Amino acid sequence: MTHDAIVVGSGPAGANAAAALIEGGRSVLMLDVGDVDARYEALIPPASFREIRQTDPAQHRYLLGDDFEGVSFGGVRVGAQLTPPRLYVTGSASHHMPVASDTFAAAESLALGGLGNAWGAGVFGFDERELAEWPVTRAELEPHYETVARRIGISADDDDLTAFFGRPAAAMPPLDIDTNAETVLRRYRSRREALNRQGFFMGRPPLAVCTTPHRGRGPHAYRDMDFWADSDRSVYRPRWTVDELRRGGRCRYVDRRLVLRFDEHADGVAVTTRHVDSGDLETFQGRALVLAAGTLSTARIVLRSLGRAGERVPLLCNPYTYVPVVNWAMLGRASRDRRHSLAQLSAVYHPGIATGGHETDMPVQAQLYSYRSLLTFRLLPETRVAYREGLRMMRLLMPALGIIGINHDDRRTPSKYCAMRQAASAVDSTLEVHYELTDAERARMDRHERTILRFFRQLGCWPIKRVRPGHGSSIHYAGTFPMRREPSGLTCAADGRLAATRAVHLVDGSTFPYLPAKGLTFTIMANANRIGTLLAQRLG
Amino acid sequence: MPPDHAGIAPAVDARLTREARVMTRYLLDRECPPEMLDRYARGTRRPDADRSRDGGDALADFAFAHPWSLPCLDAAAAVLPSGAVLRGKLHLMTAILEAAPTFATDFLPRHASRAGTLLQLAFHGAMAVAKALIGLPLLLAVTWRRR
Repeated sequence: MTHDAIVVGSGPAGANAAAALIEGGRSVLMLDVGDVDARYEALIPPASFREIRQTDPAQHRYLLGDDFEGVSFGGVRVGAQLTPPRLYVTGSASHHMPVASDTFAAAESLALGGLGNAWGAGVFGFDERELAEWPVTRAELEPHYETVARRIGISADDDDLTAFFGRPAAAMPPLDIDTNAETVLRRYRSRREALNRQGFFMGRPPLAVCTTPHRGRGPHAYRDMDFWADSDRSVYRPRWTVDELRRGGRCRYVDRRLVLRFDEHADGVAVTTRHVDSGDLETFQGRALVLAAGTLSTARIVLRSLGRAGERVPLLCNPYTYVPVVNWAMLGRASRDRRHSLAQLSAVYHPGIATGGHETDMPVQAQLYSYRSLLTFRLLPETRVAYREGLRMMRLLMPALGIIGINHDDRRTPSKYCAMRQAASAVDSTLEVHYELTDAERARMDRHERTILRFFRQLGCWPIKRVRPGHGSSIHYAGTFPMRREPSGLTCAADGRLAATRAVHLVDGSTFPYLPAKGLTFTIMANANRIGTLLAQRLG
Repeated sequence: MPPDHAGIAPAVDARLTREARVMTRYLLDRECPPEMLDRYARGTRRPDADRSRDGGDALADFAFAHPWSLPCLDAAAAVLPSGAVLRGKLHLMTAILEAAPTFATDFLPRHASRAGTLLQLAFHGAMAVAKALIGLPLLLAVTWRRR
């Protein structure tokens, strides 16, 4: 049976490309490995974090994990924020899709819904300047941001950050922030003009979280359990969209299949898969192929299919630093238990504004989280004091403790690339990744971080230390097959079509020519929706 | 089947039982419930959890044989890499205690006035430094003696 389009992957890109194709009247076959959490989800009661901590005798099972997988004995690692109920998201990926690198730690997903099962839900539209290298304008992308916003449900404030992130017309009221963030925002507002003149802006982050009922989901229940469970289904997960599409009848979902390669023929594309349990090879036929497997996995499929093993393609990834801070205004103050665990506040530092346009660096983005629901024991090794005293100090500091995550933009350089390993076996999936920042990039990061932390100090947040968890830790991967106005070789056209092919379209982060210092997921979804819409018209 | 009772030998290893009891008293001034002794024993089976299993660890062995020394050795081990095994055991036990309703109030945020908070932070900080100062020569002596 030949489908109009085969979509590979069920993450943010795959789910939204498939939705656009189906809304455009096409039939879709979605191929996915589709790992799910069969162990912990049912154990977690729909109650608040504090309530669970005080009452649930089975909490150790999901807080620590049956195999203590939630207790890390090593140093900081990529994906360390994943709790046992979320570890399935990346669980089998390294087995099926190995990455060889001594400079980059990759996190990939073979789960139903992909990395979208564990994302921070930040929805940040790209502006004209950030889209300058795209063959697509903000005006062309705008309707797709709106469509995706209506599909996934977005809550956002209209504040100082609207100019940087945009605010969809369909936005719901913003989430309430916690006591800790309230004190920081209050200080920001009292110093706003001076801070804005220096290029610093702050507000509530737009989030893919329903604050009013939406498509059978939400509203958010403020249980502070967002790192552990989705019991109110208020935070958007791509699997909600996949569920809707499957119920609609025009999407056939086939799981346990790892896509190995594609081969084009006169009538379309043949896609070869391997069953991850039995190892059986199977081929599926489609008129067009939509690759949404995630930047690194899509690179494997493309390079293997085109016989380009050993060839380097560029790789982008937001350099990331996190900084534990103490908010002095919260010392000795009680905080409300009614809260969410996602980013409480966002901040943008725009060097160009600070220097009257002399500084050409792109903006840097920071998010402020309150550290409450990830358990105290995780922090104690970082305190470098005895456990007994460390525990007592952390209990006092906890209401005042925050984590600032700082994202930097990323551009192509010769020292950031990946390549399929030249292997003896035709199915070897090892991807070699090399990622190094230039001295100039490191110096710029350092300079901007010091500036941002100076602003946070003015808001009462005192940094304890800067932690760089290593390259790859932002899990924002992109740029392997960038879109071009005049595509050739291993680049894509504006409709996501890979230049070397007739009917293979890329819709994940692979096609981004540049990575601004923003979470990229919302733009991946909007771009996937755009390409899905164009493809549906072409296939018609 | 609840994992606490899955594949656990009826008699939990005596060494691990002693360790769990000593650490619970040290951390919380409380007694360790039996189910958490089991849980600790299971936790140490994780390959990266108890690096002392095969060859033993001089510092951890000494600390659990002489519980009076644990506060100072822990404080010293916090700043020296040679205390990694002892700190790893404390890390595991702290995690187990935190994920139990019995001890929830010992871990959830504690409210005090600002002055009270600052005073308590200063007190605990000073205690940690003092213990580390006593613990450092003890740690060096214990590890040197075993070489």
